[in-house]
Amino acid sequence: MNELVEIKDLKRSFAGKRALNGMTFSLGTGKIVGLLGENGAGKTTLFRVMTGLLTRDSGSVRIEGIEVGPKTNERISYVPDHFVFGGFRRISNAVTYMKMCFPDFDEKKAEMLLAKLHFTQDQKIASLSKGQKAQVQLVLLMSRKAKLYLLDEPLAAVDPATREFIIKTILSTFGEDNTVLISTHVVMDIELILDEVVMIKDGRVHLQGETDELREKYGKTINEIFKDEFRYVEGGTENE
Amino acid sequence: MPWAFKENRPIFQQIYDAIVIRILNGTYPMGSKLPSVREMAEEAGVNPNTMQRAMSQLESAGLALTNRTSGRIVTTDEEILKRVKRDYAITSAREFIREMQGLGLSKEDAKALLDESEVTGK
Amino acid sequence: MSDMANNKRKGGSHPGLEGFILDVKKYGLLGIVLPIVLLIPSLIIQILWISYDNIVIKYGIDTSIGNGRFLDPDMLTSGERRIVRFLETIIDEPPFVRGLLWAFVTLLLILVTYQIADMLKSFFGSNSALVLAAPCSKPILFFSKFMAASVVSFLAILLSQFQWFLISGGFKWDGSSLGITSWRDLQGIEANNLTNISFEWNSVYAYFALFLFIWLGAYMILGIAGKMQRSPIKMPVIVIIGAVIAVALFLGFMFTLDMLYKPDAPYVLFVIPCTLLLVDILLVSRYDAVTV
Repeated sequence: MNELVEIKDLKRSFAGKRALNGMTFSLGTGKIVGLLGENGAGKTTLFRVMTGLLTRDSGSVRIEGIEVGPKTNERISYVPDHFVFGGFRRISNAVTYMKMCFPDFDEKKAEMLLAKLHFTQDQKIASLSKGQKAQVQLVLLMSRKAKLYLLDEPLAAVDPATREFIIKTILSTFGEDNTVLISTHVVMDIELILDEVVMIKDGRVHLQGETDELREKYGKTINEIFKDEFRYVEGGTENE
Repeated sequence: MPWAFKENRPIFQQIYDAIVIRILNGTYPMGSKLPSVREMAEEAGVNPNTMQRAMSQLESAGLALTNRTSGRIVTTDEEILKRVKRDYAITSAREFIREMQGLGLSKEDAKALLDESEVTGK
Repeated sequence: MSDMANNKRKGGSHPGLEGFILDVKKYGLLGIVLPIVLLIPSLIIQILWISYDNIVIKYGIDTSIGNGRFLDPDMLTSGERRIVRFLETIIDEPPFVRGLLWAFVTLLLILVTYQIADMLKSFFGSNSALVLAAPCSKPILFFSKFMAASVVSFLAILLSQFQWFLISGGFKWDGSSLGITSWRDLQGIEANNLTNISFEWNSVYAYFALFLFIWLGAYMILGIAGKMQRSPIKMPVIVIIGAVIAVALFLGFMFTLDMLYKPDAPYVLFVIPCTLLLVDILLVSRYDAVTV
């Protein structure tokens, strides 16, 4: 039985420098996993390789045992850290696009969630605020019935109401037949919903484990463990 | 009563304790049906797996039973509840005495303090 | 697994096809609707030419002078006089005609710019994470966008050439073929005074080939830049290499344009664009997003 995600010794360089430097880890189904790392640790690069937006230098990336390609894109829904629906005029256009390009798109669910957030189908996308765009994007991409959801810094720079909505949506979409992988460099807001964490530094995995087990073992919050792991210099790198 | 967690200890244990207290104080009455794992997880803002683990522990402790037709219900066994209540109370009491000893007070001093103190609220 | 297959049939049709239709709609306003709108003034001129022809038939031409003057100019009504005066100066390209031609050129330039910007945003920019996440092979996604841009651009170029046609003279059926009249050739209604319609296909091919050079070339430059991200080559060097490629492409185009005047010109014109297309498809199949 294949693991949902199997990454072995993954390497990828930029300008001669290794962004992913032998990354290895596996993920099962039915989990919410945090991919924790400082900015520049390789989180977005990893997501891009997993979704085929970047080629790898060496190593392997398998989703349900299949190499990255159109077949794996069927199973993955990638929610990037920037807005990707800017090319559409109205919300309805974006919904139609999702319906036409992704067979696993649940139109009813999307419409229901959009209505709950008081969006109308004929609203112009350009007129939405940054927080609203984040909401619409999350709704659309998480209305796909994917096996793996990749969320790139979903809580960065959003207001508290949006943050709460995002966490609620993650919890309600998540189920025993999918896994949500959330990349973030801020752990505090999201600790409670994580089953597992994978901490990466300099393009490699430094620590992986179940959250409650780590709490038991270290007697610390995941946030504290994360900070301890990544303290480079005296005085730490607390920049929140 | 909102859910409050200390993230430096296993969450599932804290959830378990919180549910037990809710059962003991009647928020989840005996024999009543507990909300689904998903509902409770969303309400508490935690991972459903973690909530599930706490629920499983409730079942092993005999505090909840899973019925195929009616879901999870709180036990109607008064003996178990009495025992659990006593266990929690004793733990709290021991904690209290330990704290008093930490302040340099004896058990007798602590008892006297109890008679003196008033607790406002529910 | 069969569940996945069912999903495919239940949901939309192929992402490549859907993308093609969406893109044609997107480009269609600039590339099809507006050109047709711009043809309306040209159509009016065409109608004037036909009226002119009727005036000539009505009044007759004094062939002795050789320039098609009317035998009895004073018999023309004021409306007819207006038509004659307007059309007989059209060869000198009055501002009106020049304006129409420039409007078309401007429209074509805007169309190409828009299409390239759309392509860049879809494959390299902020929308790439969505476009390329579709469960469809990248060469197909790329090819469908290429086809949409090509079809619309070709139509737009065709319409612009057709416009020139409408302005230059009236269509006339002489019983066996379609010809075009102009005031200089107007000597009555005999067939041999009609010049045959010779649509400027070479112009169409040339403009279309230029469009292909630009569109495919733009992708190639960014595709190569994407591939080069791995290596420790500095950005200014990449920019220089990009500029060199752009210049090489342009020279290639000028060279093939020169070939236009040779017999089997159209085919030669498309050799380099076809090569570019193949290179681009190769680049997109091992795609690397350009990260800023």
